[in-house]
Amino acid sequence: MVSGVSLNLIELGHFAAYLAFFVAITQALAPLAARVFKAPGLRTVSVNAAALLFLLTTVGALTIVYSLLTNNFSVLYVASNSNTHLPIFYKIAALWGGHRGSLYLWVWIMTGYAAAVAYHGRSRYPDRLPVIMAVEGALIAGFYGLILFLSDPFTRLFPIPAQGQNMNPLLQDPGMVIHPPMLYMGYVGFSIPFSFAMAALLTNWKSELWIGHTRRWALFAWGFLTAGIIFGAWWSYYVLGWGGYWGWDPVENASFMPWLMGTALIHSISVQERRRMLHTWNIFLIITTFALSLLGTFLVRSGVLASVHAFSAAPGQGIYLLTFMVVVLTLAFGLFLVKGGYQQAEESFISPFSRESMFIWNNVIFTVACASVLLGTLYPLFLQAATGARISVGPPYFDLVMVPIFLIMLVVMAIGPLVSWRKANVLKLRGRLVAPTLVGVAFAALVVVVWGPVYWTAPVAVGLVAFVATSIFANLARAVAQRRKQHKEGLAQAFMATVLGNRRHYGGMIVHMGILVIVIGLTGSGLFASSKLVMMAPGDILQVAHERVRFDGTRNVRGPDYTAVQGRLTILNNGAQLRPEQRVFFGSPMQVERPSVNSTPLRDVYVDIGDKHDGKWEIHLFVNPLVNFIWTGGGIVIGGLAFSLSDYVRRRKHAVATSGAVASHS
Amino acid sequence: MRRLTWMVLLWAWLVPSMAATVVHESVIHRREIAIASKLRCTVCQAESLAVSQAGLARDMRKLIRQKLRAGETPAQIRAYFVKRYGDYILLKPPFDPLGAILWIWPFALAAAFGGVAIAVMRRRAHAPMPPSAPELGPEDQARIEALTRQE
Repeated sequence: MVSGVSLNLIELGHFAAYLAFFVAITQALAPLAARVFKAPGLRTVSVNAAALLFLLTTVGALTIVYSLLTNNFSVLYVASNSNTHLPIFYKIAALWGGHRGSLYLWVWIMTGYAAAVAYHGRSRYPDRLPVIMAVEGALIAGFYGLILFLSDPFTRLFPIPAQGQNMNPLLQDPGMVIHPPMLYMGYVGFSIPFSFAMAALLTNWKSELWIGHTRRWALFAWGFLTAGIIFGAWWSYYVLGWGGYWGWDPVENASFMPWLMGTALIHSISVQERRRMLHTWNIFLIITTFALSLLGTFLVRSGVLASVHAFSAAPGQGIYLLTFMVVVLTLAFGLFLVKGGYQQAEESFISPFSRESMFIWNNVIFTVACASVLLGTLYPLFLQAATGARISVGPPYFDLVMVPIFLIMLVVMAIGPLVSWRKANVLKLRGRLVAPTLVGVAFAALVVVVWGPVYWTAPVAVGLVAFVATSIFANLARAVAQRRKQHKEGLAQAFMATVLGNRRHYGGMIVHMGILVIVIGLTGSGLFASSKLVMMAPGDILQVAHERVRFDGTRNVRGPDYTAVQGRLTILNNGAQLRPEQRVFFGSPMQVERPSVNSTPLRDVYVDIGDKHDGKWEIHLFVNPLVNFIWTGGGIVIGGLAFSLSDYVRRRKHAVATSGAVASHS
Repeated sequence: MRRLTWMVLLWAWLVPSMAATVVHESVIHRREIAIASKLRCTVCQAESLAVSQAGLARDMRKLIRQKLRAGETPAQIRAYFVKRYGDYILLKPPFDPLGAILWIWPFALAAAFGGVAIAVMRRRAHAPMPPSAPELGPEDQARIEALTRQE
């Protein structure tokens, strides 16, 4: 038990958080005050405030972490989410293991982003920076209000209990430790483009001057959101024990919608940079993406949704978040309607056969996809609120609607990079499509021949993946051949020079390849999985697909904060051992099934152990093909994104190194 | 004679199909999963009967299995559950006055957005080409050469 100063250190954090709330309000109002009082000096206050805000929020976060580490159960949040048995790793992660702490993490990340923009912008766009910071400050103040008045993680508890409750057992997994911070980095990251857009609308700042900056922030946020979603799926797969990774659960949808709009955005920004079009549309996308991030927060934290991922929230928070969201979005869209016209670019030529038109189709498809998920997620809620009728919109609906949309997306993904900007040569394009089409058809036919009558999406998806992959490689091969001819270089040298010289493009292509790998994984595990649920006595053998598994019995094991019945199974095909557990955590009535998985690149054998009846155990065995492709593909996507962003770092270094030379010449 | 041939053919067709009412267990299991994955576990949080570990879901799966063994068709079984629990149990909303919008919306939206995109592109197909980037002057060329030489 802690005592004295360290027991009450949390109050320092509480004080810092209150101070931060007022700093955020100051940050939001400083540019306005500068204008009203005609005191331009006040503008810089909002920039400096961003740094102070981050510092204060960090102090608050550190005191919470310190309280968790020292088992300070005089803090309500610590007492209800952590106990002395919890491993240190999870004690730190308990910061985002409960509703209050995770909201604090959200704000902490937001202040971190704001400070980073303040640092980044001080030399690049100093005149607009105060307004950007003011918008960011207003958003942060809004969330701080929620934290301090409705879900305060610093609340004390008296009398001090001797032991805390346990962290939600389902969250005690490495996947869950990483998933929320990643997701929040994504969600919150989209507030930066939003602040840019608001500042631009308020100050008549032409979007050409700032869209390049937001592109990097948007890509950064998109990468984290992607990683967050993949880690969420991973957690769902390895912890929840239902043999799947994505259930079109409303909370999953809440993270997927900003991802869809964010994906449209990062493509659409490229069009503006290259062709100076879609200025207003991009601002609309920026606002919508952030709006969906807010909507996701509202859905997850207000208690309107029942989901395995949702938090149980105190009353009042839903109303607060809804009001906050409505105010922010009304102001944002209102401002957009009133002043968005200023950003309108001159109408210029668009050929139906051009890269820009392909990007427009990309945007159409992603927007339709997002709107479909949105309706599917919200309609049951609306219907129940309006008429009391209850309907369900679940995986069968989303699979049926979304899979065709994504298949069309793959077609655009294949053709898009082949088409040149402005106006493509149709004959040339036709020639470039021949080989990929043939390869695609061949692969689709192969699937039909080998697997016979499967659901139509299997051959179509595989054919399209082959089509896209061939077109990417053919494109690369053409570029390398061209370079070899021009520069008389060897194959390896020309390849490196081509790829390293255009990192933005090839980074994007690597991301596309990652998506293809994910599609293969989704197709394989979605259409070719098989499972059996049977009662087994020790010595029994069960066969699913081609995998034969023997049940060897059980034994009792003990973890740091749980006891468990551990099933012992052997896969006879490769001798691998499976150890599924049924855990009972201290201080929790819940029994938690923890599956055990044997993975090879081509298939997972996945097993759960259930209850015992008459000397037999309930065993749920799944054989899921190609699940590893999903995680690998996710890694490739993030790698490609990092490669693409490395272009920026390289250019900056280059600019620094050569600026002297340029200066001496001019 | 001709009539007899028809009778024999009819028998040849009917007898195996009658025998097939005794369905193999693995087929039953496949059908059970197929039906259960389209029905909601009514006590769970957004989970289907097929994946839920709740006791109720287990009982309902058992019921599905028994009905399949008794020779009921998947459609009959679904109808049975809808009668007892209402449309709420269907994870795929039916195309009725309440659920229709879910099925119309994606198509309507695709048509609307696609239409706007095509309209914009057609309108702009006749707009003037945008000015291309300004040509590099001799000074710029010299600078580029100086830079490349340094590398």
